Amino acid sequence: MFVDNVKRKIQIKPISIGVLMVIYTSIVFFSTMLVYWLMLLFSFVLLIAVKKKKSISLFIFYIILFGLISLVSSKCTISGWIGSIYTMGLIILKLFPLWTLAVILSSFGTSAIIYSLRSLQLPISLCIGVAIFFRFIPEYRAYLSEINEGLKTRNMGLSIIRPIHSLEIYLVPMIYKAFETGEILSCALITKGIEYDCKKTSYEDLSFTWKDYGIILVGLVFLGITIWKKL
Amino acid sequence: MKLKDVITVSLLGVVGFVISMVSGMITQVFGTYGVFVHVSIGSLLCAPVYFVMCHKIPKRGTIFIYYLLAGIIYSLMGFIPMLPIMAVAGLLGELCIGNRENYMNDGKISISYVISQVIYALHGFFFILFLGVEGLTKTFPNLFTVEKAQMVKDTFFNSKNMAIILSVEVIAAILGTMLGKYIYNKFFNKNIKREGMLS
Amino acid sequence: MEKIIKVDIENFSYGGETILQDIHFSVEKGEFIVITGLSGCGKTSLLRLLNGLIPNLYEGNINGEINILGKPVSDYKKGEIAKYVGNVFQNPNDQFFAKEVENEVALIGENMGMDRPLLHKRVQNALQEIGIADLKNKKVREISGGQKQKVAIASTLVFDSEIIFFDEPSANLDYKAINDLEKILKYLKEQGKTIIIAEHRLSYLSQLLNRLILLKDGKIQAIFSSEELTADVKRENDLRSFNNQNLKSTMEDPDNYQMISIEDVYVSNKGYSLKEPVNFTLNLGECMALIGENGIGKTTLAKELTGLIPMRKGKTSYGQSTSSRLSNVAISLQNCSNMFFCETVEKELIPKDKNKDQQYLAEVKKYLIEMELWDKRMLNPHDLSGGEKQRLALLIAFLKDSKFIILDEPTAGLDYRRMVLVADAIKKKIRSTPVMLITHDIELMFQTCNTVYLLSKNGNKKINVRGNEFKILDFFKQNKY
Repeated sequence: MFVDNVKRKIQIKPISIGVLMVIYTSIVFFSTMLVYWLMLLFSFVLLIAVKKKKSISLFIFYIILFGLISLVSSKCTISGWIGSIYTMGLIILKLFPLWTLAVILSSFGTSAIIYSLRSLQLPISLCIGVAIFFRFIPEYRAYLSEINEGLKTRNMGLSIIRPIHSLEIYLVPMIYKAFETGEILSCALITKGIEYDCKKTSYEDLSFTWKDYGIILVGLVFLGITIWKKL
Repeated sequence: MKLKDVITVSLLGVVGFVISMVSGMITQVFGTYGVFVHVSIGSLLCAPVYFVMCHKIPKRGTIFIYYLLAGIIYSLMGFIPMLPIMAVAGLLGELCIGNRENYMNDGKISISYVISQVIYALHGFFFILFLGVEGLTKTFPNLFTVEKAQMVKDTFFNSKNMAIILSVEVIAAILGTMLGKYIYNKFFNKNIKREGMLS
Repeated sequence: MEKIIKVDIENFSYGGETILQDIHFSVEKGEFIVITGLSGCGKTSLLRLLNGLIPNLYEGNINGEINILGKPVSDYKKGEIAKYVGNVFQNPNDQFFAKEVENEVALIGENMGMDRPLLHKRVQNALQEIGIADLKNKKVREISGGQKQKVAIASTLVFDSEIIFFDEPSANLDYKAINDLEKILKYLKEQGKTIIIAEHRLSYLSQLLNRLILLKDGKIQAIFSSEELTADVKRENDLRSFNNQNLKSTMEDPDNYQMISIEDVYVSNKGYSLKEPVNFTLNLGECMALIGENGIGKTTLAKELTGLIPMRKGKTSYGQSTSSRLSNVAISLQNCSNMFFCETVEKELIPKDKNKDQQYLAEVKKYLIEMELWDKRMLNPHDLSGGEKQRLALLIAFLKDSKFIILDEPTAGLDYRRMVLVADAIKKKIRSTPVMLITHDIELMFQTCNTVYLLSKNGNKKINVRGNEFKILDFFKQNKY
């Protein structure tokens, strides 16, 4: 059985990862090699702490990409098409520490995210919207393959000669699905009192511990080094 | 806006997002060129979602929330600079609609869509600019030399290419609005009298 | 006894159309009420008025008042009523907001501002009471329909709501899950909960209910007590059977002319596989039911036979490649909305190359009228009601030029009258094309199937329906023979 460790013993809070993300964003563009490696290392350590399995596949991806980039760099002339893909690859490498954090963030439960956003004083409707994104993106991916199945039973499918039709057959069911789900979900949420005016609580314990302060401190140190190097 | 409207707009946002992801995957093979094409394809394909949304949820705030949510999601995915860009795109989109009654006006929807999408599309530039190709040389001095940086800059950041990219986006968005209007009328507009084959 | 709910509706209308009229009744604490009636009779609207979704979410003009726990529904603060009234909806999947079971159950407590330690205790208790403690860390997306319904019920226990409303809770459930639901409802009743259920299927409720409210065209046609539910009442009002245990098959045996043969097909998909292979033949005039417990691979088998997924081994008489199977089999999928791609019902049924074919057009027209879809032919298929979508999917399968038809749960959630429409259409169709029917709907099965294929972990077997009614019911209960 799949057990989500993050949720069980919620060790790191979404907010501290969020703060770290802001710090990373502000320095990732100017960072020197040293800070980059430190950021990468730190985010991997965090990822291993919350999602071991995922960290392995992400690590392998990184190694492969890095290897390819190095290979291209030593073997090919960097121009035109190759140059373009090469630059893209470098950008991915560069943003990798950030994306690792994003992976951590996506492993939190909907309610942990929603409660964290709420504590940032974001309006409730936006919080609900964000939670819906997290909850339904995998749902819609699955729905796309269901549509494919439906198309096969009707002997229909993508066709280059009929581009608009090809778009319609995927897009229209998805839009209708959104309205249908919207109605059902609204019924469920309203009858579960989401609009009730009171101080909301959270099922998960989201209060900060030394670990969270530690994470933010490390982020600040990275920021410090970057600024110091700039000066 | 009622709770239900927010929920529906969010779900439509998910649809838009999934489509952008799929088109993003396709454009990945274009490397950095892809960054520019990606949004244009998205602008073309997501327009029907936008049209249906405006017609079915003709309320102040629909467009703003649609873009803002995408901005928040981008931020949570690590692209925090997208948040202000999307907020601006959404705000301008709302402004272009103008009057409350215009949420069902195809012309106004089209204008608002093109403006918002062009701002959204600019994120590609901002992104590369922001990142500064120079930044790459700093982080990866062995992999990305100053000469390479200069070359990449020359390829992308000359006024001619910028103009091409921008016009591609504008054309994609305009084509998108036509597609959006067509699909809305064909599948969603209940006021259109349809010709039946049976009698 | 204490009157916990009091309904006094003179009139409820929407868009100028009267939907409910003269609805007056009250419910005592601990009572178990079932509201039934044909689709479109106003059950859903009545339930929405009771739980406050009208006017909170849906519009309409109401003339009258509904009291819950001595207070008009309209006097409750926004969302407050959630403390006293729990709701379980029909669609098991999209009603969930959280990703994990435990969080979904906790959601109502979070919304109401319940303190965390208390909330944790309540959630654990609720999960235990419903018997799903082992699911608590599961993703809601990954559990079965029956389990989803249990999660929805568990969440009504977090606040210990006195009243629970159910809207067609059995529509998407299999036989075993309905049995479980019956047990849970019995438990809730014993706990003193007041329960109101809007439902077509009555057999699992007939022993539990105190009163059955029958709606017809927006009015209360009659109110029956549990003892008054006789076969005559069922027949006169087009109701679903009150008791599935004594149903008898009415189908003739099929002809001797063999049309389809399936040899050594293994049910396997994504790491799952069933030990024994599937072997059967279908004759002219044959409708074979395919039954087996949830997750055994009925839908997988259907997809293999249709060519939607490849077969690892085995042979079908109508095509060896997936593409030849796809073109020779017509299927109506369980999630039937996934089969609709055109702008109108009519276009869905009439392909471009057939729009001049008068004979074909006449056939489509006949089918549309038979299935009560004629007036809806210019609507978008996605705008149809659930039952209408199912009938449209059935027609798509019937109109396709095929050698073999597979129907996956074509009557889940249909009222008796519409179920009979479907049953009659199937009986006509098998005179030209054999049908395989995946269903948990025993009434449908006994009306349309001459044979049944039992799929189970310890082997598969095909038997006749007539004369084996008890055996089949037993198989549904035990999942083995």
